[in-house]
Amino acid sequence: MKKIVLFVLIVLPYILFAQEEDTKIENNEIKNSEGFSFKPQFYFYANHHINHGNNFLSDGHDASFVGLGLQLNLLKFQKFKFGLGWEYHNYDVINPGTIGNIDNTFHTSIFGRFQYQWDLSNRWSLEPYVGIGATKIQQKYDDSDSDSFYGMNLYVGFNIIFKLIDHISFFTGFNYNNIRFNVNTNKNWEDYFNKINQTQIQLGIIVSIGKN
Amino acid sequence: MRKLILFFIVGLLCSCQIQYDVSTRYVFEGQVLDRDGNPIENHSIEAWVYNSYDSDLIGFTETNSDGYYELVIPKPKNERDFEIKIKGNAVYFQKAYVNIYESDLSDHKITIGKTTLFAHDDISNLEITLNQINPENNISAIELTGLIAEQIIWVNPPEEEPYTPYYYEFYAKKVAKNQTLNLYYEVRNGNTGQTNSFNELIDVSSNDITEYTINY
Repeated sequence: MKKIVLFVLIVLPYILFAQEEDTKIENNEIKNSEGFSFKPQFYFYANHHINHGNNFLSDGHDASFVGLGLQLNLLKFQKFKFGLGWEYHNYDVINPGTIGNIDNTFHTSIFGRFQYQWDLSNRWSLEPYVGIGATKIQQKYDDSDSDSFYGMNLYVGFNIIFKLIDHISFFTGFNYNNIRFNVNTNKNWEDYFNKINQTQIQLGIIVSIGKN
Repeated sequence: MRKLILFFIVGLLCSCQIQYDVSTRYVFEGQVLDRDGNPIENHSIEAWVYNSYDSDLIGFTETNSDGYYELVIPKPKNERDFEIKIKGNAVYFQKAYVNIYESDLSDHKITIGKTTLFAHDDISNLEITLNQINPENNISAIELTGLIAEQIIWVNPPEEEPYTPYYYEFYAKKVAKNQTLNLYYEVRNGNTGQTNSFNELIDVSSNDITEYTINY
């Protein structure tokens, strides 16, 4: 019952306030001159992390091949979109000399992204974006309680989107993610724990409420 | 009432476990050498954390080609002390640095320094027979100086005992072969309270056992 109510709350504003699209065909191009609108889109994707340099993620861990990601876009202004998202990734510890005697580290992020939808054709779109977020690194040693530390993320990247049908698209994405943590340690080890440079590769689907 | 008691016991046990602050990291570093000063490569090093109820093997690593090691561990929240174990193996005898406190760290780091390991076949068991000739006398201190294959090295001394320990009958130590040791000991007369100190030299040969006698 709760899920039904939530779904109605998400869709209802669209139904009530959706603006008619005013499309023009000029030089065999379809142009959409819609203004500010409510355009729900759900991104579901698998995420692959590649960590660069000498830091605790690249040196001390081995990232699982895929993690999970979810992004929700609600607002669209002309071609610009804004979305909020969440990602989860599990890391295996491979260097107990610098990380400690544990098996896993859990990497969770939340973020906001500003995207631009550049329609290359009827089916293909390019979606560059910038984003900002936060990452939580959670670890648990032996039988102790789990503990965490946090960092700030800056993203820059793009998605390549293929529209399958009106409401469903496939996409693949690439981004560069710069994370800064605030771990207290010896000055010779500060960069190792606090500066992360990461490339992410995503593969997933986009479900749009309304026309894609 | 039973549930309350059970909850209290569980809570008490849980609070005894060592907890960690993962946003702070401590560094332990040092170098492992053999008797001739050559670095020992790929030697196992362990970091342990203790409190009154619990102990954790919190990190481990191996020495590099220069015998150096660096161990980085999360900061414990409720520890009593740390220990760095230079592990023994088929060739070398183990050493351990115990009673390391958080206050010994500077800028989140402690340097253990150079550790000399002795090969098993380079160790002689020094066996000192304590021969009590005068029943009023007791040996109140024994100290050896030289190449000691000491297994435990106290970074901070253990808590002082409320009484003066006495040594009886026998004293043993693992020492390196082919050296001369300096033996210092104190003899205390239980009746007069007078304490006399002595220095003697012990020649350790290539034998697996070195015997010596103190008559007091």
